[in-house]
Amino acid sequence: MGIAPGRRIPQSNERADTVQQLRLRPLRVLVSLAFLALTTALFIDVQGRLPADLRDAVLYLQLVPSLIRFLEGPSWGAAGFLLVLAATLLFGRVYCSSVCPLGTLQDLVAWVAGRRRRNPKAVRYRYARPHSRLHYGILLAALASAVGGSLTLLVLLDPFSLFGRSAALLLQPTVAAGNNLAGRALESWGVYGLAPVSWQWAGAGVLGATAALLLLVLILAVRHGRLFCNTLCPVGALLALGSRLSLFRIRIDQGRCNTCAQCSVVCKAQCIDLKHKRVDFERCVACFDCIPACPESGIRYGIAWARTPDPPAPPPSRRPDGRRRLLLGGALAWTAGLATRGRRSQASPVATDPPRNLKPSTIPVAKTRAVAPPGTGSSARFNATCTACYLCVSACPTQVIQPALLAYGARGLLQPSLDFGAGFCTHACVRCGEVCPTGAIRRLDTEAKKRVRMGQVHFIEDNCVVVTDRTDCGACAEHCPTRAVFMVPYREDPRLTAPELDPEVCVGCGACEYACPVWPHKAIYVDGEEEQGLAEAPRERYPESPVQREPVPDGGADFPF
Amino acid sequence: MKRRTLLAAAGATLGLVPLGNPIRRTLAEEPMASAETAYDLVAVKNGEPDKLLDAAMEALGGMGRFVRPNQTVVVKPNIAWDVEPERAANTNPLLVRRIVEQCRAAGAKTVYVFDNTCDNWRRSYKTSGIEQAVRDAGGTLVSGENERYYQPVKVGGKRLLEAKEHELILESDVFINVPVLKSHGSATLTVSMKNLMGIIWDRRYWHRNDLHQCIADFAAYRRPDLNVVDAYRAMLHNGPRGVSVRDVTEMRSLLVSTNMVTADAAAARLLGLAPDQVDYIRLAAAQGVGRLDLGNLAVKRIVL
Repeated sequence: MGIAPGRRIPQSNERADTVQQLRLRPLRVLVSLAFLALTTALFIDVQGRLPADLRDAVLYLQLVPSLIRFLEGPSWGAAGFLLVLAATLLFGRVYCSSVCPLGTLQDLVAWVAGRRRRNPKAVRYRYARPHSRLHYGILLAALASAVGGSLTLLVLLDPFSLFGRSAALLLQPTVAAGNNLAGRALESWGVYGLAPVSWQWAGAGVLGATAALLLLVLILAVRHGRLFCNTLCPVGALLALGSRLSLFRIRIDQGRCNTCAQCSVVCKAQCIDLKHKRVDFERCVACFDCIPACPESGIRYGIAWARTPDPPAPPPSRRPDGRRRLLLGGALAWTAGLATRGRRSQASPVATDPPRNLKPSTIPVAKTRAVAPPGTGSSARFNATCTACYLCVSACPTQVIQPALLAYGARGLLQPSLDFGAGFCTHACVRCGEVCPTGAIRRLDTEAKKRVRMGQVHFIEDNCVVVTDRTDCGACAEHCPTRAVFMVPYREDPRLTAPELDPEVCVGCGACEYACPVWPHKAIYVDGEEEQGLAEAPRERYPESPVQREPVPDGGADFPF
Repeated sequence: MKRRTLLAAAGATLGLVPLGNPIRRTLAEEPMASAETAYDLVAVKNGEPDKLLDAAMEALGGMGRFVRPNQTVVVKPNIAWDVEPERAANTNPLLVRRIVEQCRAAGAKTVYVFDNTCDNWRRSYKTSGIEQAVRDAGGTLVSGENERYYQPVKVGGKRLLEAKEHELILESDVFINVPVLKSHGSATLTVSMKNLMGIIWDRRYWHRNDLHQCIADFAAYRRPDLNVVDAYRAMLHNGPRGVSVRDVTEMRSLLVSTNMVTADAAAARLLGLAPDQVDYIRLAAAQGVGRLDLGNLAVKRIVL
């Protein structure tokens, strides 16, 4: 946007200052697009090529993840939210228009929708009353429930997590499919350079919930600008509190303003009150769109002590906010409804293959608990620290971390769990802990991770193909990284080997369950545990085996043949 | 990124991406060119992996006997696990490197290397040292971790009637099988024949349908042009994955044969087993895939 036609050209001593003011908006646009692009890239990095430093830098300033990380263990590495708060005290809600990926996405969608209108010059926005009580109420409720150990409201409304979840569930599969098509095209020309990646759509519940919430945010954005940020977003509410004290503010020059409304028309926060020539700076997202819109250079951003005080805020409307209250009531009731539902016992994993083992297995797997990613501690701790941004889901090399709706019951709405039908947790891999923005999945060094017990192995002997078909298999023991499952001569037929468990060394990685070939019910599976414990180190086990410990060449020759 | 690193990276990428459209072979089960060799089996010991290979191939008349100029070669090591070379769960990277180098020196147009790994393929390729080895030698790494690479084939065995086989095996001119010698919890041993479980897609089918018979069935269907058995380090216990270096013994040996049964029979002997103690070796020999009576075969023994 250039200088509006008919702009009053200021006198020379003001000119330099005006040029500075006009630079604010393009600068903000640039920074916001960079953050949006980089944040998106984190979630669609299907080939795993993004450098770790870049990832950490992008995540550093995300407020809710940084805050959660800091509360668990204060450190400079988790102090990004302090920077954001400090910036807010100085400059207002610059986070909302620059760093927040969901904010920029809203702006982008609203901008595109605006350009597609029949009359792009039509009035986009007008001043709207604040919904302060609703907004601060949500912040209070989110904080209260977080203190109580449930992040449900933050999971739903934290803008970074909602954005990440949307990118991971909707965009990432699309990118992966595109990657695979491109790779296939290259390979048909004999060029094996772009490796295929595995991908799948999330379940209908998770996908539907995320898509519906994203759609709601975007529809609000097209119709009401930053209404989500100023009514539902808990981060917006927190920063609004900070911006009450901001040093730098947007203000209207009472002498220059001729109430032409050009600023108010472009204000996506709908916070410029022309009747009182006042900017409701709590709701201002510091996008600076209003500055170039003013033909009189009469709306400016600067240090607040130099200003003439704003006229007093108009008294809040007493009109009951029926529709919105209904909306909020519904949302709370839904959350409460979730809370009353019991823990979901996971459906037993059923293979989709046709029944090819001679005798189909008969005993269903009965799991009692979800298995959380490695390094989450207790499920209570995980529930209280994971905002379900799904960065781990999109980063996991084996896709064993899968989105889930209620794997941990109502307290863990949308929090991801391990799905051993999709893959298993690679023994030496610590990727999820490296990427987790909140620290819900701890950063572990490889040796520590190898001992974390995520779950516990269980064997259903009567499902095992060695027992039912009397043939060798050993897929479980083959995949087991710790020998928690190992093969011993089968007591009914010593020519065969059958699995035996050593539960103390089991890390619950799920490799055995993933590999178990029997149909339709697995013969070996991993069940979750309330608390992730420490597995014993793998033993020096040399089971009876036809292979001798130190083979000796026969006949004293160089080779035993 | 420094300019030099960037150039090197670009070079490496280009090296991985051979240009041009190779004439694709049809997906029929045509037998691959099999070279006549003076020996049924060459066994070498007391050397580093690359030297062992050099000696064995010299005895067989050089890699040029198997790889003609401008041919495409597929090398199939065991890269199943995300563990370091010292644990010997995967084929020795130095051996793989030397094989790729020899193929390139023999004029191979492209040398593909892949495995359908058990652990995540990227991690396994990297940790095993094989990724670096293949890059250094000018080979092309390909993923085995996607069903799209696997084409349905008729195997027609006793238990294994069909399978889905990696297209590189079907399309390449030469197939070199490079297993590592390990004990195995259920298959007793894993060598050449068992290594072919890494060129097919649905291993679970084999596991639930008489593993030994399926291995023998597939061995009767797919016969590599050359089998190079890595016994530089051999995993004696807790195979095929192992839990520590203490599962491993240093044998500093190598076996080369055009026949998998012969190679596996000799490998069994290295671990102190009679070949017919391993069910699939016995079954494959009975099905006429190859001979395990090593005493009656032409065996070249080399001690470095």
